[in-house]
This record gives sequence, structure tokens and C-alpha cells, in this order.
Amino acid sequence: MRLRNFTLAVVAAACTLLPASTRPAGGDEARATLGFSAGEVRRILSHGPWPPPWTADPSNRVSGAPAAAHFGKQLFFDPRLSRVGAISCATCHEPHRDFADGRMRAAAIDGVDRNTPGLLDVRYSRWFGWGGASDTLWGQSIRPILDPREMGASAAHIGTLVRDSDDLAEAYRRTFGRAPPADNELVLVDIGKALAAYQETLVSPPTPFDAFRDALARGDVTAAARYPDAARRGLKLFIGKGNCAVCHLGPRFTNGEFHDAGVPFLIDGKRVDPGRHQGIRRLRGSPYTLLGRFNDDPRRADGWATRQVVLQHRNWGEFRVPSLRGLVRTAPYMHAGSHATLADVVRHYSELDESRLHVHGERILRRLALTPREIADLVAFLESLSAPSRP
Amino acid sequence: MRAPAPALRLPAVGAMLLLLAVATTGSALACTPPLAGRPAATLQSERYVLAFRPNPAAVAVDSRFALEIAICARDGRTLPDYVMVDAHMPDHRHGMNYRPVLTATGHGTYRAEGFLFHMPGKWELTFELRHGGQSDRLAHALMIE
Repeated sequence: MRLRNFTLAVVAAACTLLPASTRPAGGDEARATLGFSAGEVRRILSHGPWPPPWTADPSNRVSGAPAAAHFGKQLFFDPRLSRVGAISCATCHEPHRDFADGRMRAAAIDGVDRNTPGLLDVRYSRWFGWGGASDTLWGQSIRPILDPREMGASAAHIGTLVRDSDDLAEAYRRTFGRAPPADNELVLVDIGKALAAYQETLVSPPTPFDAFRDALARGDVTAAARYPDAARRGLKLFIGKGNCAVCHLGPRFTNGEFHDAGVPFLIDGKRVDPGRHQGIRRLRGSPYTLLGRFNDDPRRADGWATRQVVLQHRNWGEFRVPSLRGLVRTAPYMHAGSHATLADVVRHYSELDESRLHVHGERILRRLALTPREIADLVAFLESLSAPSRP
Repeated sequence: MRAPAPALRLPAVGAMLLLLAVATTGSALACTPPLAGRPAATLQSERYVLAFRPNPAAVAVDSRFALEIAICARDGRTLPDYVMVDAHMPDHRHGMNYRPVLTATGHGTYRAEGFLFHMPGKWELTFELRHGGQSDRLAHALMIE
């Protein structure tokens, strides 16, 4: 049989399959004044508008219910949920730090291997946790309750607590329309769903970048020009030379997936954090997923990713691509808090040790070799993704 | 013809005979794949012609989509008894994080669900059609912004 020449149909594909996303906007005058090409404007506009529209979580029957959000908030700050009666969700997720804790790695009943992520905008995620071991916010909310290093509780502890505490039993009844059942696991899952209903309300406010992006969209040069020059130069690097938007894309500045960013994955210099590889294995072993009996959506409509996710060798050392919104108040950074400042993060990519990247992994990251001014500009841009006032 | 198996990643090539396809944009075809509606692209090898269309029609980064696929056999040959479809980023040396599920819908038509391109850039869809101990490989590149 004859081997025929292989033709990549790039051009045809570009014409026929292509991106739904963006319309050239901003107007020629606006983009020329601001120093962006039409392609750059398209990429900038793809990072908004903010916030995305709200939709209820079909796997959680109390998603969006005010009573559930109220109960969830009460639970979030309640240390009785822990085995020792002294640790609440808010012990690590501190509201004044945008629900992070300022530590390199979390510490509750015992030390934890990973950094506490902030919770703003968490509801928009496909996967939860640095390794993506949960596919729902309610499933993710159950995990620290049961982890012996964090809250160290059990289904029996939670069931007994909710049934025997007048305030919790009454709030449960208001939220779920019935008294807490005798089945401890059902109570535990419902507590996770109430906690999720509260966390769904934690959405970050629009930022200086959003004001710039929206001004660009409507061709308002005057408003767009209020965006600081350093942030504008940093944005140009972010979508250009820095190649950052390959992973940090869309309105949340994340693709919601997992990558090896060349960050050390040894814990205390001796144990390996398997990252996404462990996350997928834990997901498959968990009863609290979209494929399990606690999903309130009988159609299992959102379970496709859990059914079809592939466990690959390259998942070792991969960690979730975090959103870049609200970074200013959630230092330190990376999955184990290894980078104290945003400048440290940018320098990490500028001086990247490519030999450290997984030999079987992706070939995306390259040492950027940024100048000090470019580093400062990228930091200015990243800072513009935080609102000046607290939500 | 055996029922096509679910989609899998491409296996090691081994001794398989691979045919790399030519994407066609107007050349005469020996048969017409029974795809309902207009295809996004039509590919052909020595033995087969394959047409496909994504659903939704506009493929966006980080958004799930499916492929409607139709295959016909050229010159009176038999349809493939095994079909696989996958996608990867050749420049980045990685594939998708999800394995598409292929379902035969009869008479050489298929639906593959669960595609998600998690990065912008050049992606390559790959189709493998097996019959009679031979395998034809067809590929189609597309740019995702």
C-alpha cells in the first residue's frame, strides 16, 4: 500500500471548526491607542466578562437555597464539626484572607502537605483540591471533615452532633425539610451540601482588569486608559511572550485542569506528593462523587468528566492550575506554599529549570528569562486581578 | 462487521500498516459518507472516506464537545470493524485528559462524546479504522484559540 503525503488541514480547520469565543471588539481606535493588536484584544476579551452567570449545582438539591447557604455558613464556623471540638472550616479558610490561611502548608489537628487554597469563586471549578480528588463542592467539603489531620471527624460524629444539637437539628430541618435522619452518612453528605451552598455564594468582585477589559469591549478609550501602564505591559506579556494564558485562560484565568509547573513535589524533602495521579485514584475510590448514590441529579448529567478522565503516568507531579483572581490576599503560592510573593512566582517561570519537568510530561513551559522590568510588569498585572476592596 | 469498540487511545503502532490521510476540500470522492448535514471536514485514505462534524459546531477551548462521524468504504470494500478516535497536541506532546466514548449509530455512522481541548493551540484529531488486519490512520489538525 502506498504511503501518501499527509497534509495538515490547518487553514481549513480554522475556517470550519473554530472558536466560538470572541468577537473582535474594542474598536480600532481603542486598541491602537492602547497598543494591542486585534488578536491580543480577542485574547483579552476572552478573560471576561466577570462574574460568569450563576447556575445551580444539579448534584446538590439545596444548591442556591438561601436557607442552605445560611446553614452552611453556620457550619463553616462551627468547631463542633471536628473530632476535637476546636477546628472549624474557618480555622484554615480565614475570611479576612479570602479564605486562605497565610501559611505555606495548612495546619489543623496536624500538619497537612498542601497549601490552603482560597475559596472565592470555588463554585466555578470542575475539579476540587490541588489534586482534583473531588468532582463536587459538597464532596470536597466532606473530605477535610473526615481527614484525621484536619477535622478528624466521622460520619457517626457528625450524625450524632446534628441530631443532638437543637440549633443544628433545627437548621437542618429548615434546610432539608425533614429532621436529621438516623443514617449518619446521609447526615454527613447533607452537611457537605449545606457547606457547599454557602461556599457557592463566595464570588470575587470585579477588578481593575475587569474595568479595563469591559472598557476595551465597548471601545471606551478614556476608561481603558485608566488601567495602569505597568499592568497593561504585564497583560501584554501574559498573553504573549509569557505564554501564561495557555493554562490560565478564560474569565477565571484557569483551564481548571492540572499541569506540572516545575514546582518541587517532595514533601519535607523526602516524600513525594503524587498530585493529580493520587487525585484521580482517590476520586475513583470515593463514594462522594457525581457517579455515586449521593448525587441528587438522577440523570448524572455532569458526571462525564469523572467517567472519562484518564489516569496517566504524566499525572505524577501535576497540580491544579489555580485561578489568578484575588491573589493579593492569598499568599503564599503554589500547591505547597513554596513561593512567598507574586514576584517569586513570576521569577519561578522566568528562571524555570526545564530539566526538572517531568520527562514524560508536556513540553509547554520554557524558561522566560524576563528582565526585572518585565517581572515587575507581570506582577502589576497579576495584582490588577484583585479587587481593591474586600467582597 | 463486528460492532466497533469504544474509543481508545492509539495503541503502539507495531506492525500495523498506517495510512496517513489527506484532508480533502473538494477532490472527487469514491464514496460519500452518510453524515447528516454538512461535514466540518472530509478525510480519505486508500480504503475509506470519513466525514465528521463537531457538536456544537464551534469548538471552544475548555468546552466539552462531541463528534458526529460517518465512514464509507471505497471501491466496494467492507466498512471497518473497529474505529478509534482521539486527539492530541503534537507541539506540546500530550493528549486530552479525557477518553472519548465512541458509539456506533448504524450504517457507518458514529457519535464520539467527551472531547475537551484544555489548551488553546494546534490540536490533531486522529481516527483509526481497522479491517482485515490493516489499519488506516486519518488525521485532521485544527487551531483552537
